[in-house]
Parts: sequence; C-alpha cells; structure tokens
Amino acid sequence: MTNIVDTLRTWFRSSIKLRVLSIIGVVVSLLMITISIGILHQWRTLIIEQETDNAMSIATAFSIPVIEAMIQAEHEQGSRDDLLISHVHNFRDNVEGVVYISIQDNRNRIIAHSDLSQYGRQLMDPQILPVIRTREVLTSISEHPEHGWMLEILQPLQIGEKRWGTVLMGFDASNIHEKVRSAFFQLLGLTVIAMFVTIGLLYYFIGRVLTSLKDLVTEIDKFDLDSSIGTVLPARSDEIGFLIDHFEMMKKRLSQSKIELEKAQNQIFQAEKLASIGRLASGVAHEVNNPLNGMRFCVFGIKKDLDNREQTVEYLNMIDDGLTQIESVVTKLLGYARQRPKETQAIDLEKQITTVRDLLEYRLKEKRIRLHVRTGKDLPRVKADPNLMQEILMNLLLNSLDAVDEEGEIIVGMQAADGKMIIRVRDNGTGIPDEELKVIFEPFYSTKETGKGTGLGLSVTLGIVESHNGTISVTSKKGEYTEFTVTLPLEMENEPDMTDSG
Amino acid sequence: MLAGLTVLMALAIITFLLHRVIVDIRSPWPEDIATSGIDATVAQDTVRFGVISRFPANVLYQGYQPLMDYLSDETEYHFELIISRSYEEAVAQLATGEVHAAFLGSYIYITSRGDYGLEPILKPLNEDGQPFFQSVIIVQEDSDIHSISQLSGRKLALPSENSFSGNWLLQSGFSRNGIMRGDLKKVEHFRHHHSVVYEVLRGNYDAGSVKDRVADEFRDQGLRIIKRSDPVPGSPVVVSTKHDPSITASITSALLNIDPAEPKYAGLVSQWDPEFRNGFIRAQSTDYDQLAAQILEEPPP
Repeated sequence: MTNIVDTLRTWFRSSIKLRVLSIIGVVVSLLMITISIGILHQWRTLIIEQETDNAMSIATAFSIPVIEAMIQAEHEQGSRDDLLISHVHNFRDNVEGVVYISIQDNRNRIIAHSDLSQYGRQLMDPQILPVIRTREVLTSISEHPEHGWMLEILQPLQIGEKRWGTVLMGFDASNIHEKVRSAFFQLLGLTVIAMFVTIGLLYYFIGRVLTSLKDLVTEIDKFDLDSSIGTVLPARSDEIGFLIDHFEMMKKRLSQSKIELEKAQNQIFQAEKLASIGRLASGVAHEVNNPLNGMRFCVFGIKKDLDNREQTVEYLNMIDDGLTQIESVVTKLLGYARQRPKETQAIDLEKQITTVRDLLEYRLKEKRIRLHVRTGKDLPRVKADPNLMQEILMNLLLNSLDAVDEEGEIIVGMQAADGKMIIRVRDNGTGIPDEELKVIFEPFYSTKETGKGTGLGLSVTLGIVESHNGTISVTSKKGEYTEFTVTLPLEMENEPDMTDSG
Repeated sequence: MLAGLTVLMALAIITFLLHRVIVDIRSPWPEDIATSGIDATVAQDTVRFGVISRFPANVLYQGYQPLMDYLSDETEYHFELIISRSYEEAVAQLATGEVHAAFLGSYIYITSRGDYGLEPILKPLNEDGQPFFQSVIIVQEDSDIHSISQLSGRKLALPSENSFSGNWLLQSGFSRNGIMRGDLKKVEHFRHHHSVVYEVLRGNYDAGSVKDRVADEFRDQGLRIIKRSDPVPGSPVVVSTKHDPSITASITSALLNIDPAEPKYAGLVSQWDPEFRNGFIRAQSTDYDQLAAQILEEPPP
C-alpha cells in the first residue's frame, strides 16, 4: 500500500501536466459521477413511479367494478363471489403484466383469486397482514423466488369509512428492473465517454499550453546576452504571449546590466592595475634613477674636460645607453599601464610572465627573492587577452612578494594537461590561515595596513579568470607556503567579450 | 502502471457496488400507514341511517358515506349507511326503528308521514341558499322537443313513482300544458334518477324527468333542459316518532354547523353528494303542507 502511495506521489510530482490533468481530471470526474448518480437516481425514481402509477391505475380500474359488485350483492343480497372470480380471471387474462389478483373480505378471507385453489383461504402472508387495514393504496416491490421481480398493489375496497375488503394485485416488475439496469448502463456509458472526451480535451489544451511554455523555456535556454536577435516565438495575445513579452524585456534589461557590469569591471581592473603600478613605483624610480646618476656623472665629466673628444664620445655613448635603459623601463611601465580595447588572441604565457618579471625585478632584488619560472616543453598558446593575463600574473606575484620574507622563493609553474593550461604560483611565505582562505577572493578583503592595498587584487583576478571560463583555487599552510592554481581552457568555445570602455 | 491499475480496479469496484445499489429496486410495504377504523367501532354506538333508493347504490355510497363519516367524527356515535332497495323499504325501516333517521324524498315523506308518524328534522339548501329543489324535464341536446306540449306522442322516462320527479308531470305538468298522459306514446318509471338520464341519452326515451341535482351532474354531456317545476321543499332528513332525541340532536347539530363558505368545510362537503354541499336548515312538518295539499289533491290522471 505504501509503495502504491509512494508511486502515485512520485508520479503525481513528476510533471505539471500530470498534476493539472490528474487534479482537474479527478475533480471533473467526481463532478460527472456525482451528477450521473443524481440523474440515475432521478431516472430510477421516475421509472419506478411511472410503473407504479400504471399499476395503481390498473388496480383502481379493477377495484371500481369490484366495489360496485360488492355493493350490488349487498344491496340485492345476492351472490357476489362467482361474479368476482369471473372478473378476476378476465382481468388477469386481458391485462398485460398481471401475475395474480386476490380479493379479500374484511376478515381477510380470500373471496376471489386468480389461482382458484386459494379461494376461501385465509390470507396469511406475514408481510401483508400488518398493512392489510390500510385505507390508502400501498405498493411494494420485492424479488420472489417463484415469480422474480414483482410489484404488488394493496388496494382497499372502501368508500369513506365503508369498507368491503381489499384487493391484492401482483404485477411483473422485471421490466422495471430491466429499465433501471438499462438506464444504469446507458448513463455509465455516457459518463465514461464524457469523461474521456473531457480529459482528452484537457490533455490536448494543457499539452498546447505546456508546449508553448516549453518553447519559451527553449528560447530562454538559447538566451545569449551577447546576441541582439529577438525571440523567434510567434506573437500571441494570451498569457504565454505576456510571458514572451516580459522575457524580451528582461533580456534587454540583462543586456544593459551586462554592459554596465563590464564597464564597472573594467574600471576596477584598471584601478587595480594602477594600484599595482603604484606598488612598483619604488623599483621604477630606482631603475630610472641609476641611469640618471650615470648620465649626470657623464655630463659632469664632459663639462670638466670639453676638449677631451675621446672621453666625450665615450660619455655620450654611456648617456645614450642610460637613456635607452630609462626608455625601456618607461616603455614597459606604460605598456602595462595603458588601457587597450579587449583583444583575444593566441598568446605565449612565457612572454607574459617575462614582462611581469621585468617590472618586478627591482622588488625581487630588493628582497633578494628568487623567482623560478618552470614551464613544460612546447607549451601551447592560450586564447586570452594578453593584458588581462599580465594582470593576473602581476596580482599573484605581488601577493607572493608581500607574503615572502627576504631571500624567499617564488615558483611559477606552467603546464598543459587535459585540454587546460594550469598556472601555479607558489611561495614559501607566511601562508594564509584556513579561516581566511574562504574569504580572500571577496572584494576589499585585505590583511595589509590601510593604504597599502586595495583589497581588490584577488577579487579582480577571480573576475578575469572567470571571464575566460577558467577557475582559480588556493592551498596554503601557515608558515610554510601558499599556492594559487589558475586553470584556463586551451580551446575556449565561448570567448569572453570584454568590451573595454577605454 | 501499478497505480493506474489500482485506480481502475477502484473505479470498477465502485461501479459494481453502484450497480448493485441502483438496480436493487426493492421497496418494502410501508410501516407507517393510515388504517381503516372499521374495527374500532363499538357495536352499541352504531346509528343506522337510511336512504331511499333514488340513486344506484354505488352513487349513494360515494355521495352519502362521506357524510356518515363526518357525523361519526363530529358526534359520539358511529353512523352506518343503510341503502334500501326501494323508497317504501326506507320508510318501513324508519317505522320499525331499524334505522334511526333516513334521507327521504319530499314526495314519499308527504305520502307516508301520516301513516308512520315521520318528522322532518333537516332539509338541504340549494346553491342559492334556499331549501328548495326543482324537477326538470330533460331531452337530448339535438332533440326537436322544446316544450311539454311537444311530448305528445313521445316516450317519457320517469324515476320512482314515489318521487316528486316521478309524479309532478303526471299530476300537474301535463294538465297545465294541455296534454294528457294518454297522449304520450309510452310512460315508464325506473328505479333511479340516473336510469332516467341513461335512457334519454341512449335514445330509448324522448324525454325524462329528474331532480335538478341529477341533471346538473350530466351537464354538458348531451342533455338539454326544456322545463323546470316550481320550487319544491328540499328532500328532508326524517326521523320517526320513536327516535332518540339525543341522537337526533347530535345529527341536527352536526349538520347545521356546516357552513360551506368556511374553508375548513369546503374540502369536506366537496366529497358529499351535490344535494348536500350547500348545508342544511331545520325542517318543519308544515314546510311541506303546501306541497302535500298539491300532491294529495291532484291525483294522477
């Protein structure tokens, strides 16, 4: 039983169509069954009443001459029984459906009967005796072992309070039984047909509604924020059309939100980039300052001995080298800081890490940190935006630089596996407590002193990685190491379209 | 699948049970019934009430038995209707005390009252509230007879020779219109007023004389009235000199209480013979003196 209930429950919950169909189907079916039972009951009552009325009319028609014969016999003091017996037999022989007729006097003695052997006997039927003194016509339907279904009429032979006896007539009631039975099956058939038609129509119309909904869902599945193509569903004026219209409006709002989100994201990316440039400022200053000092020394030497042509040429060459070095530093810095339109291309990540390493060189030397870059052979190119990749690497390396002590070690590993490019940045710094690992990618989370970090570095990194359909994770052990793992798909079917506001 | 089968099984069982209930047309005899009170009557309380054989016995039972039932309900007595086989028998039953009271005709009362000491106690009112009736001469609707004088050479049906309707034409009606009984082809008396009507309708007789109450019963059934008698004092309820005054008082009181204008009596009297549906009035012997003089002084020609 439990299994059946569970099965029904599971079946019921498996589909809206089934639910609607079963609920409405059950309600409609119950309603139809109730109405059918009501109609059937009415039919049954009408059939029985009609047949009973017919039988009562026949019994009354029979009784009128019986009363008159009894009055006549009483009045003339003549014999009545022969006349009554003749009347009984004529009536039974000529009126269809009459099974038996019995006439009793006031002492319940049978004075005429269609079965002559009953004449003169005392009426002893225990079911009739309690009602034999009725002053109204009574009816009863019962199933006799001998005669089958029988309708019996008990008719008093009475005018006012003057009473001569009773007439008991039995009619064949099998036709009543058959009519009721026939009515039952007719109505049952009609009800079943009506139920099937109703449920069929329900099935069809619910199916149509759900098909429309499924079409809408298919359209939603196909929904691409980057696409400006409208919904292909036909225009409708019903509730489904209302949903489609609102879906279109929602699509427009989402597209607009996406554009605004990308603008905000790019602003954040750029802000974080500028922040990281600020963190590179001391190194840049140092790299500019060193050639400047050499150049100042050369200018001083040239001024001191203007006539020394050989020395002047040597110093000018040295000044030229210094300018080239400064130009190189500035070019690298500008190259990193410059805002470019988003550009997805096949890039060599080794080049990107080299660029970032150059920008961080002073900071690395300053803390005597060893940076090892380990790449596999024939490292494949990745389809990505080179600037965003540099920003990822810069953020991760700056994070490691802040984490490791002097003479620490940072290892950058790159390898391709299972169609993915895996970039690992590991340092032997202070590590990250377990409770902080869960929140380090949240925006504005920072362990640095106020003013020394934006708290957006890792959040921005996460955003860039996800915009390239990649993932980023971190493992760490406090006091031992921290390792960030970035995974990027080598073949990106849905390339990110990072519209650059700059 | 299993669930579907279970639902189908449940529906099949419900249908089967419903079929069982619906096609079972059994209905037992009712338990709560209105029974006849015939056995409850104590014999010594029975008051026998006679009636002349003016109508067939079944017609008398239909119209007079409900009146007996009313008297039984309204008094402390049980009233039994005794239908006589003739007018004379009813008078004899009164004279011998076999019946306490009887519905007599005005004519038989007048002709018998002197011999048997009969007293009228009540007489019925007609539709106008007057204690009179009329005898009428009826013919078929399409008959060419329009007056009594045209009855000459025709066949005439009459009720009992002890009734006013069976005598008034012979005693005064013909003479006033200038014909004699002998001018008619045939004159015959029948036991009941209804028999006269049937004979005329069947065409066996050209005309007939009946009480207006009987002619009204067959109104619109192919009859036409060509003549009405003068109003005659209504057929009296009569007791003999040996009557029990308390029973007579009960009868009188109960029947004088009838006011057909009152709704509670309207349904009751609708079951009674039409002659009694307008109630009764007290009757005196003298009410019939004028008619008696007319009848007794004008023997039939």
